[in-house]
Amino acid sequence: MNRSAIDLRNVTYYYPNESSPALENVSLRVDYGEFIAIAGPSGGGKSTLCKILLGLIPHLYGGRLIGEAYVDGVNVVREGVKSIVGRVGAVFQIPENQVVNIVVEEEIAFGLENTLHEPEVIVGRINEVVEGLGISHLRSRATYTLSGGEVQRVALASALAYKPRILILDEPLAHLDPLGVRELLSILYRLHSRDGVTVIVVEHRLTELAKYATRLVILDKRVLFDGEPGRGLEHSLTLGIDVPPVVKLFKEIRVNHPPLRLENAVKEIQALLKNIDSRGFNNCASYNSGSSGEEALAVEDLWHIYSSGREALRGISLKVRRGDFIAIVGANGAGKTTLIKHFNGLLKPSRGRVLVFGKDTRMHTVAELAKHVGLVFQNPLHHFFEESALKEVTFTLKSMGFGSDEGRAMSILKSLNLRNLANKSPYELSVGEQRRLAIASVLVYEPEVVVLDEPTAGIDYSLKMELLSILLSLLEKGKTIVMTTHDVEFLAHAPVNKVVLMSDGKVLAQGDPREILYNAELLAKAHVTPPQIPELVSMAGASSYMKPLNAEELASIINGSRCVKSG
Amino acid sequence: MAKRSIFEGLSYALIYEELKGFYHNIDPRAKLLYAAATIAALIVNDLQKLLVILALNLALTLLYLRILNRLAALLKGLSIFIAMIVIFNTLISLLLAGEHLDIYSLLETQAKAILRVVIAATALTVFLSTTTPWEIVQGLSKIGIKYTYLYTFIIALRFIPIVFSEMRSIYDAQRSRGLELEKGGVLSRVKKLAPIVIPTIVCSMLRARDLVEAMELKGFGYSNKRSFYKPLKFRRIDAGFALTTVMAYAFIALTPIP
Repeated sequence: MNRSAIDLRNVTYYYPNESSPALENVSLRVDYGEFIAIAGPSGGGKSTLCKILLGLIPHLYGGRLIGEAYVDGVNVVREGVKSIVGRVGAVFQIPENQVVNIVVEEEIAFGLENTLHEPEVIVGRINEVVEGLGISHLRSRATYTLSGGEVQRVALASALAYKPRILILDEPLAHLDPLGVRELLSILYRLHSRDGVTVIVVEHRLTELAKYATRLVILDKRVLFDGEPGRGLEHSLTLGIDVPPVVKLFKEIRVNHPPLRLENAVKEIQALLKNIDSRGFNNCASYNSGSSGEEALAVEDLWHIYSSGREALRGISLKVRRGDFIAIVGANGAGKTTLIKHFNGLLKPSRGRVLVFGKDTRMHTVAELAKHVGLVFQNPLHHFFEESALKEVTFTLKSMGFGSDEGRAMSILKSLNLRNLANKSPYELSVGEQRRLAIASVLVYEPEVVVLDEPTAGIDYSLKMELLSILLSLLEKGKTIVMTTHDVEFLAHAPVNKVVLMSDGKVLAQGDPREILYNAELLAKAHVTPPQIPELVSMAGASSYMKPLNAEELASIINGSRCVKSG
Repeated sequence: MAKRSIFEGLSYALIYEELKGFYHNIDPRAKLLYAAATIAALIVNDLQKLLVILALNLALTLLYLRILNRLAALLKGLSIFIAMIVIFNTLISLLLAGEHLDIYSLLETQAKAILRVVIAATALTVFLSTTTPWEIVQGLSKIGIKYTYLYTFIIALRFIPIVFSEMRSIYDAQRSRGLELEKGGVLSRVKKLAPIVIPTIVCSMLRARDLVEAMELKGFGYSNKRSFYKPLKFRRIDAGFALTTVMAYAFIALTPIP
């Protein structure tokens, strides 16, 4: 009998009709009670590995698998998914898709009922998991009314009801806001440390996860690293993984063995900052200072009340000038998406008004307003329906009244590095390419204002940097950008000139990103956590005289004080 | 307040609501009996009797007033279907009767058709908005129907609000790219549906794949039987409700009109 929780031996896997493997010669042994983070770039085989561990590959997917895979002592390649029911709990990237039932406690009971557990046992397990996860108040709720974070906890509760020894989560942090991330990870850590559950989290957002994991595996079709998280992160800066800013900082200032927890970095940073003259920093600001140009958007006392009676927006006032780059920041459910849907008239105000270059959105159609405001939705798959990327872009041109100008369509595809994929189906593209195509299909008609809804949700670090360079080039062309996000680390790199902080349908504050991202009290009110570097600088007691937002800025100050004004 | 779209209205009307009212406490088998008896009563072909059945159904909604809102949303959603019935009936009557068309008889036929839709919609709203799909599965399993078949229906119900909400989001994404469904003739409008229908199908298929995997991992279909954590109990009040409604329908159907 195999004694490891997981034992993969030289696993190579080819999806059906593919000539290159999704995983190549992967060997991995996990002991019971470990908390493992499996990271790697998009397309590196992380989800494929999950599906093999869960017995779904090759049984449901087909393809060719070479090697052996044991989970809780069972050969899952031979026995398939049935063999691990009850032994392994799983939570997928979009937990909403794995919820079968309409009432929370019915969902938690579902698996146990399938495996013929007695009613008394099931009720006992329901009580246990809802109390353990702090969701007792949700047990009678309809699953379709829950928030993203709540659905995830219900999916987790449903997986835990079996009392599995192994828990596998595939990109569980992808759609959570910063507070949701911290809450979920502390639950997982408790399951690992208190209940001895083996936790395997497949994820590329490592800033928070690295604090809890006992081991890090970096996967890019092959295992590139397997060991202690701190050491792994030091070596993975070039691998497209979202490395915690504090690790980046220590690498930049050439200090070995970076700590993963900020508390452990404070003394070192205080010592490094001690010798720096605290008078007059300019914070290395390459940030655009905004524009005093024409008013692009004006939101005046905007209220939006949905048909259910929910007040999604409550008296929002906001001005966006031509050339601005504005970030609307807030937790899930704060009203960010509802707000931007007013910018091209998809939603009309219940009270108040929105002006787009002086046009009242109540008096104009979406088609008219969309000529000025291009809106890129969060899920690129909501855009695509044509046979090829080129046709997809041409569709927007035709709909916007510019005719089938293929030259213009090709030109935008070229500028977003999609020229070679012009004749490919949008569905055959990678996640990053799909996101670029969705942006291309909006930019092609050159709207003056580009609005992006959570553009970094579910994408890895290198794709975020790719997105950042697209946004920078738009700014250089004089475009106005509005972006909603709860990705505070991305925000710390984006050259925004104004942050609008939202909570519960209201604007809590708007202004300079440094002022807002250094105001922990304000961020907490909006259920948002500060980026790591502002948090570190504040903990080191230096925030009164410097406000760097990211690792590169703080490293510049420490390394050469290049950004410090003389005397 | 923003208005509900037709799709949102349909979704709102047919999905279980997490409140506690009279019908939430009634055994699903009793409610199913009531719904089945209501549908059976629609064979009645007398306008007055249909009006009495409608009145009885509306009286039953007084036991849980929120159903009236949902019924209104469902009828709004069904308005196109009702309009099609009216047009079809008119065309058939014109074709068959020609010059001898009796306008009163046509109006009566139309009224009866509309009444049948409204009555069925009332019973359906009472049943679906106050019964969880899990209760339906348990109720029907007890009369020998295999639960694996029933879950097809449950999943359809569970995903109604999600698919409609996704469709709404896709529609918004395509409108943002200049799609205007309101313009053009019928054929052109139908063609314009492709940017909405195709992404909806693709997203639904991806969702279905995730769901199948999740159900496999939770042991769905591993046994022909399943346990239920909260066994249903058919109480006096359930029997009373079912018996009263069935007998009322029988009385209405069998009583001769003076």
